[in-house]
Amino acid sequence: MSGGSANPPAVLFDTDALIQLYVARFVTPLKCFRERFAMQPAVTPEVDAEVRSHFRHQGVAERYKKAEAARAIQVLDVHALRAWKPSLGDRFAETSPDALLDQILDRASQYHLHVDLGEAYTYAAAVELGLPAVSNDANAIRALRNNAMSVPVPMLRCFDVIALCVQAGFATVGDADDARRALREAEEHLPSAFRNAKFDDGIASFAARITDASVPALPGTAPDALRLFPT
Amino acid sequence: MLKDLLESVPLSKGTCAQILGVAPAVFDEWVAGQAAMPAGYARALAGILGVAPEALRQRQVSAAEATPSIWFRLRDHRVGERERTQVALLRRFAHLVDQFEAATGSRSFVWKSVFDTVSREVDFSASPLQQGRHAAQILRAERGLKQGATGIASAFRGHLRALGVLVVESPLPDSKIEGCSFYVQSADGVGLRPCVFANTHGSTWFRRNYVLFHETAHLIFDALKAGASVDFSEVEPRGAEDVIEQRADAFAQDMLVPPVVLRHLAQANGIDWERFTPEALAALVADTEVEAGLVLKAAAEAQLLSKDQRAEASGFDIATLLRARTERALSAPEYFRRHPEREHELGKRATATSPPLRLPAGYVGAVVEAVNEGVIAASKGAELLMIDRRVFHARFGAPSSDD
Repeated sequence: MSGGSANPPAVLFDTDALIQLYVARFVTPLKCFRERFAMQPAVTPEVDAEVRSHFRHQGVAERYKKAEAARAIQVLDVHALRAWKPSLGDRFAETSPDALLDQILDRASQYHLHVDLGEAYTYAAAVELGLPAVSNDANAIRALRNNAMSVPVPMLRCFDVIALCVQAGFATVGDADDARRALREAEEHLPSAFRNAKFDDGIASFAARITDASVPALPGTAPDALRLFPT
Repeated sequence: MLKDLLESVPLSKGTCAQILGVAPAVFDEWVAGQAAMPAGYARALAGILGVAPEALRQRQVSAAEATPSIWFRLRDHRVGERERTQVALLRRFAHLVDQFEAATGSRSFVWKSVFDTVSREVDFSASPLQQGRHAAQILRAERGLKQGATGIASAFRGHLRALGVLVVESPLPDSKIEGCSFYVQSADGVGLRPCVFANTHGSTWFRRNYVLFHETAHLIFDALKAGASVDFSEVEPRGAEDVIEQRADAFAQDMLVPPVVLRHLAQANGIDWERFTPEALAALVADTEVEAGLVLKAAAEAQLLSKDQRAEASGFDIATLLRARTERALSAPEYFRRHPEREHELGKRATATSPPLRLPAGYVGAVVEAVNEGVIAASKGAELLMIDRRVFHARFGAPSSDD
């Protein structure tokens, strides 16, 4: 997961991770990625439909639609691929956005035999484009690995992007802990590091998988964390 | 195109949204062309409707050109939105089963060679009765059931599943549909999957066995060409020209109660055909697992019972005798009073759809096992069982920590 000097042009969110940001009313990571690292938060059309259809937590779908309308989050399509392509690396130079999209769909249909629809398309896009993905479902990753299928590198969790915001100065430790508390009250999944510990206490054992290379790392940051550079 | 297709089928937008698991407003946007349907959903909807995913995006093709024949079969005056929803659900489920079997390497296309053998060897110039009987003989021989030592109704479900036939028995209240059969194309285009459905609402195990075999005959002979076969509980008088139904009736009867089985069971139960008693009828019904009327019809046609004996035996009240011989004769409340430990199992097989579909127990067990073994993710397990992920965890336990 070593980072180069250029940040990936986008970061792909899976449904559960994105919904957690809205449940926690903590969408700062979307802003942080865009403004500090020039990375576009994005979702596949399948995840877009899943989040728009979410009903368990009131107001999530509506807040998401507003963010999408404001371009805080973008749906992956040919136009997005065209915009990201120059930053994706040389191996994509000869591949058209349409062909890239076809490759993603082919891979997704294989993944979809083992993981759900949103995960399949998110992971397939992340693997094909070499982008980081944000997904809480370690169980899905294990299923793909068990079937000898490639998985996105890095695979970030919702709390990785929350921690990144704290590290980069986009949020305080208190903000992060409010998000943690909101998720716990909503009976959402919490990583074991934060299940019974405040953000500040749990971060050292969380092993963050993404870091702002321009400021001191948070305690316990994974040695192979993706290093992002402010732009 | 999509709008026209849905109107042609017809299926409501709400039904499609529900089966796909998206909000009605999201589906409305796709139908109105305000947003493109994501590829993953387009594949699922195309599978339900029986069209190619690309067809959902084409504008120049008319709905009449694109509407698959199965939906024409469902324009019968006895078929309403509820029945079409059920068929759409069944088709969705068939695709999920296909995905699961592709993921676990357990797909079977044996049905094709077996059905081809039956179709090839049947003389279509013979009477429908002879066609059905001959087809039953061939299929019994193909599956090693020629000897006819006992009834095969229960065991044959396993045979059908091993052949690659999807068998679904689920309640569809307030519907006249008793059974139906159709084929779905696998999502990856590898092959077709035959499906049979029997409505368990207001039906008995004994009746259902007949329905399943009747529908199997339609699978072999008719459903592929006609798109689907649908049978109703209120049977309209069959004309002598109704070859298809007569052939399916004869097939079901000779699969379930051929003369050789009746003779074997009579011998095993010490039945004297000359003095045919209610106890004897109850024994035959319990062992063949078909309705008394069919046993008597088969026995009379095999000349084991006279016309008068059949008429007399039709008046036998065997309900109590039958309940004493087989739990298959118990009503659901009676069964669960006897086996309270099994009551919770039924709820674990229901989908979250409306109406709920009761999935085959073997399939549900296999999906849960595949999740536990890490072959598929729990999220996929939930999708395959047509339930929410949280419901999956509540029913079957959460996977290990998702850190």
